[in-house]
Amino acid sequence: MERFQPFFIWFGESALFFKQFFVCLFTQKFEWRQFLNQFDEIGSRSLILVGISGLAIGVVLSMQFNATLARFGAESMLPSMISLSVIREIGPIITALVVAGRVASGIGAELGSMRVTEQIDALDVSAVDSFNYLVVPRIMAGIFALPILTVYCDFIAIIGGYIGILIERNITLQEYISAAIRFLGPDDIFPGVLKTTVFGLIITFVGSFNGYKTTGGTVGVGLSATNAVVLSSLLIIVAEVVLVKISILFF
Amino acid sequence: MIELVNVYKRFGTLQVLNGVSLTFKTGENTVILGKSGSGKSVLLKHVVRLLDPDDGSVLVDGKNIGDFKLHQLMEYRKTLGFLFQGAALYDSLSVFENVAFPIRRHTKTPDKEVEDQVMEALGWVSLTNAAQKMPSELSGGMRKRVGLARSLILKPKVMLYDEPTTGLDPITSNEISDLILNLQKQFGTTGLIVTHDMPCAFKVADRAILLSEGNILFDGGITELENSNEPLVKTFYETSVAKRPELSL
Repeated sequence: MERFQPFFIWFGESALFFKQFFVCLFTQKFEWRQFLNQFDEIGSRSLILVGISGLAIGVVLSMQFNATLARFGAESMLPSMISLSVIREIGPIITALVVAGRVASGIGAELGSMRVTEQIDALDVSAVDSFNYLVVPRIMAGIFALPILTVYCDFIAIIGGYIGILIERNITLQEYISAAIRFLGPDDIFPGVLKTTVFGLIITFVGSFNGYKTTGGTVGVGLSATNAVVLSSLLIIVAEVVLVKISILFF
Repeated sequence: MIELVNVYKRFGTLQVLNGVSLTFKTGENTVILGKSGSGKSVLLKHVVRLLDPDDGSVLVDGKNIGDFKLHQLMEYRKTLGFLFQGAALYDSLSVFENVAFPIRRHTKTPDKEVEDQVMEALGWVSLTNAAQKMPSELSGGMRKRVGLARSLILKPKVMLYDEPTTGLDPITSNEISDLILNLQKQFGTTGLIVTHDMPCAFKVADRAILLSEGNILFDGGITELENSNEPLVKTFYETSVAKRPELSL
């Protein structure tokens, strides 16, 4: 049982950290300026990375599906296949994993270095609640930025799908779009977009927790950044399984 | 008045504070001396409640700060200034923004006045020409001086200095010691000064405390260090004087 003690300690600290987030969110003044800075950092500065990933995924999906559908003579279904798979699953998960790599490590390293250089203590001594100032705005920015980034990724991936089709055959953009949205309904769009709020929470929570609790100097900062990426990516995949099951039940 | 009552603190197997009881009188400069690892910085961190004691209590004007609610703790901390060993400047802010941070957070001072106050504070530490630099562009000594300007800008009632002159040249060290002394004289600031710098200690201290392995070995006037019968106190004093003969009393 002693072997599992560190895990239980970690789990307990995470739970208290999560509780503190809600306590601060609902009892303290919201740091709007910090929120906007973090929204820019997590959102705007991820646009290029998310866009490139979305485009590549769209092109690849288009080429793969085209070959498969051709066997059944169902090439006309290709735009719908692309839009449905991108919007329901691939767009959200790709966006979350790409942002996790960039943002979770960034938050882990930034807060970690602030911890080991006593900047977090300096905030506390200056009568500024460091948790409310540093952690709450980051988590809220993640929750709001991820759905927007996902919609952007979905759009770019669908355009990527069109480029993939153009390599094989000729089709106008108007024909492609009208075919792509033919079978799309709100129950395809909303679950996919909404679940990314959970992914945003996971990425920024794990990054903040690892950074804020950093110990052990510069080695600790490196570990916090690495752990933040590994753990947030893993949790996103686990959460995806759970959220898919929930969305099937409700939509 | 700040009191530590029977404070114990342990990290793992290491007992850092071992039942320390002390009273810091208002308006007095107290220098805390001791070998590295003797618990000096840990003691300071208890005063601002960055650390909680395992046992015992820290009282401010008779109230236990361990019982403070968050808003009470914040109000208490607004009356304090803390100079960290490594200065703890905010990396993402310029020198100007670092020094302006406490004013902008806790007062509604107009921008022009903020600028005047920041430049005045930077003037105290001879760094007015570094206002637009980032912390990464500063030397260790400059960082420490900016940290000092930031902690002094709201003219706190109690100032805690964790090695204020370490890493500074003798001339700047002397200027910083003068500044600590002036603050006490001008504003009646209570000073808790952790230092190894004996010239600074002799200049600013009304009272000296020597910590060793979490216990208080000496508590008295700085000039009484010489007459102590405690062997470690004698060694500490003699070593300091041997290094700096001009300190001989």
